[in-house]
Amino acid sequence: MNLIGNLCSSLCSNLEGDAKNRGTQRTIDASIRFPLVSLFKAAVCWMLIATVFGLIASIKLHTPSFMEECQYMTYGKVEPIFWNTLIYGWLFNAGLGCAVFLLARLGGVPLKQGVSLTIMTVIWNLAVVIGVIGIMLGDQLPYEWLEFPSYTAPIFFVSFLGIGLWCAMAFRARVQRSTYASQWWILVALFSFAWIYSAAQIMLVCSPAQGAFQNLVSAWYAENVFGLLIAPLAFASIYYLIPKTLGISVVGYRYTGIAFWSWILFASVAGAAKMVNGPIPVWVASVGVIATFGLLLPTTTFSIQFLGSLLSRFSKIWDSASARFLFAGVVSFIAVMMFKIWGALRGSQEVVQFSIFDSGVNQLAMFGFAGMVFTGASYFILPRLLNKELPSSTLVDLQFGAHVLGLILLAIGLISGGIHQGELINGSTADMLTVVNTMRGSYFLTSMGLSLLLLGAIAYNVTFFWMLLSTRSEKEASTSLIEEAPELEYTAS
Amino acid sequence: MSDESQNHNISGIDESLASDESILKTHTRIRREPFFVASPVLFTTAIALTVIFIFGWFYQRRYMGEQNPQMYLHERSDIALYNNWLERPRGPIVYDYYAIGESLYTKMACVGCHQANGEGLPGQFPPLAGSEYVTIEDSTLTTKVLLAGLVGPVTVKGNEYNGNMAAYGGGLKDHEIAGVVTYIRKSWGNESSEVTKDDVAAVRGAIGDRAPWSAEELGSYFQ
Ligand code: HEC
Repeated sequence: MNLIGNLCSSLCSNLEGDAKNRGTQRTIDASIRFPLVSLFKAAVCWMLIATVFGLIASIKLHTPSFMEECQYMTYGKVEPIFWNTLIYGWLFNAGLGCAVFLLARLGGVPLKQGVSLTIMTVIWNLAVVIGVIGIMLGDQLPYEWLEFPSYTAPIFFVSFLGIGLWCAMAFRARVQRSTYASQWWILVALFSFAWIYSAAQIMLVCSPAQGAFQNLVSAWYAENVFGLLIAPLAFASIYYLIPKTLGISVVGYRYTGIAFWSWILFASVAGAAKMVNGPIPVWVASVGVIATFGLLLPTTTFSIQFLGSLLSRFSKIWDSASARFLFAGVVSFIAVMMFKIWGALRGSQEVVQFSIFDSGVNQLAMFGFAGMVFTGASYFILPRLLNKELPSSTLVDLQFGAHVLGLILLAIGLISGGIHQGELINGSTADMLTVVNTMRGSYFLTSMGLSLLLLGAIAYNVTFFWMLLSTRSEKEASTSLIEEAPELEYTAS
Repeated sequence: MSDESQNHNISGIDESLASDESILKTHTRIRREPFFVASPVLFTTAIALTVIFIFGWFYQRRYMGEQNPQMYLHERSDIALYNNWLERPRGPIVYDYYAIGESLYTKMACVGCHQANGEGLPGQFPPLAGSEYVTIEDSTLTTKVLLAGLVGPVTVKGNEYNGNMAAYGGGLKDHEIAGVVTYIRKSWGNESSEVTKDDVAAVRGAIGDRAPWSAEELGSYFQ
């Protein structure tokens, strides 16, 4: 079939006329092409699947009869499938794809053993598939973001160990002695995920911790999935894309170390804030609240660095698909952190605890922050990987518009809805059904937001597969489309 | 698309505006710059640090459960109430042994064998009403039977029984044993003395953990 031929030629481009131009970079890209394409393929598919499940879950909240007759699609199953495919399907694959690209490019050498990386990631994605089926069959575990049945845990763990080791070796193989913030963040994400995942599995599944301590471990894990896995991978991409797409060094890069260490310090204990009013000694929750508040420090540093860089080259944002998504991601990041910090305070927890507020902040963090950043990075990476142009800038515009609008609706629906819901439940004269009915408007908004995200996801998928499967144009086949990048200039501050 | 016309590079591909090597080199140089310079990043970071420090300081004074690592409450007023409750004036505990025994007699199923009227079942379970083991002046005998049990042939009110009475010493606390003993010694027309938890503790201490008694071993009480 023609499509298969195109797919093969996408993966093995052979540009003879262009041999000298960007020689090393082309070999670097070629060395990771196969694993990266498979990672991004998995990522875009999971993105679509996750968004569909998210939409179904959201619709079920305002129209409970929706898909009611299907036993595999109850709310209790759809909701965890949504979150787990979102995190371990889409964001993990996309984030890892960006990480591998950065490790290879910043390391400055072609990487070996691309095939074993591909095998590991395929195993990982199989585990996600098994996990989704397991949840549908009712084997799910009761811990947030660890709902995949316990029999998938060894598969995840082994494949992640392989992925982590591969990345560590890729980092060691670098020829440049100096390192860049992106590389630090990638290493942090890989090391800490191995640790939080095994700790959580041991304390929750193998020999479950007793009583309230179990909740603490579960809250700690969920917060760290964001703070120590997804967010670091996104930071890595942001630090790389800023100089790449804007042509400037990161504003205030001198102070990156502060943000780096304080983020790791505070993010790793911030999860305890969820236990406010819980049956554990107060000081545990209070330490969590203080740590969450402490995230204000790295957040400030990041915000000024990122926004400062982006705003100083504002016009570039509209020229470049990547920078545009990056900008949206950074804005979402700031919003997410403000909501997280505010939402951790005892005064606000009185209202928003147990409402849909948390889910809203998490969705904004996953779709808005990490999702937008990884998407932006993939728009930078994919054309280089495949030596093909983005097929249609209209589709990219469509995705961007749909995602931004969708995120706004989602945020309004869930976050302001959550505050409203909490207030209603607290002023407990209203009975539960009245509260549910009043909330319907917010749920509708959320569903609309998710529909827009779905539209964006479809546009993204079309772009990706179009690019992968289309025939090379004359130009694409004969030369490298990517021109030599200029040197980044050093200007003393 | 207006987008494309503006693009100076090939449409549909984001231009790379910095080579990878120069990104590394330039940023490494920036890291060597002096730390304390007038930079908006440093300025805002310092402000954030101050805010966090102030917040953290007040928060830990306010919400650390008044320095008690075991404290589960966070509101000062609640903690004060709780502490007051802990320090409430408390007199010595007064036991109503008869009432304790009355409820245990049914709960521990004595009633199933010795019956509600304390008459037992002829030939199987000896009576408690008027039994010499219960109404005896020296209450330690009754306590001993309850604590360690009784097996083998026994004569109660002239009738011979040969059964097995389980030990309750392991399951019941001193004040509960005292309650049961007091109850059977004061019911169904029995009018013997009350037994307190200290009496039980003394007997328990004297006999320790032991196998059930036989009537022979307790014979000295009736001489
Ligand atoms: C399973 C039936 C059973 C239960 C329950 C039981 N007993 Fe007995 N009890 C006996 C038997 C049988 C004897 C006679 C033991 C023997 O033959 O050596 C006995 C003997 C006694 C005696 C000494 C003999 C007498 O009649 O004075 C006392 C006192 C006594 N039981 C009190 C109690 C008390 C108090 C309880 C509840 C805490 C209780 N028993 C529960 C079966 C039972």
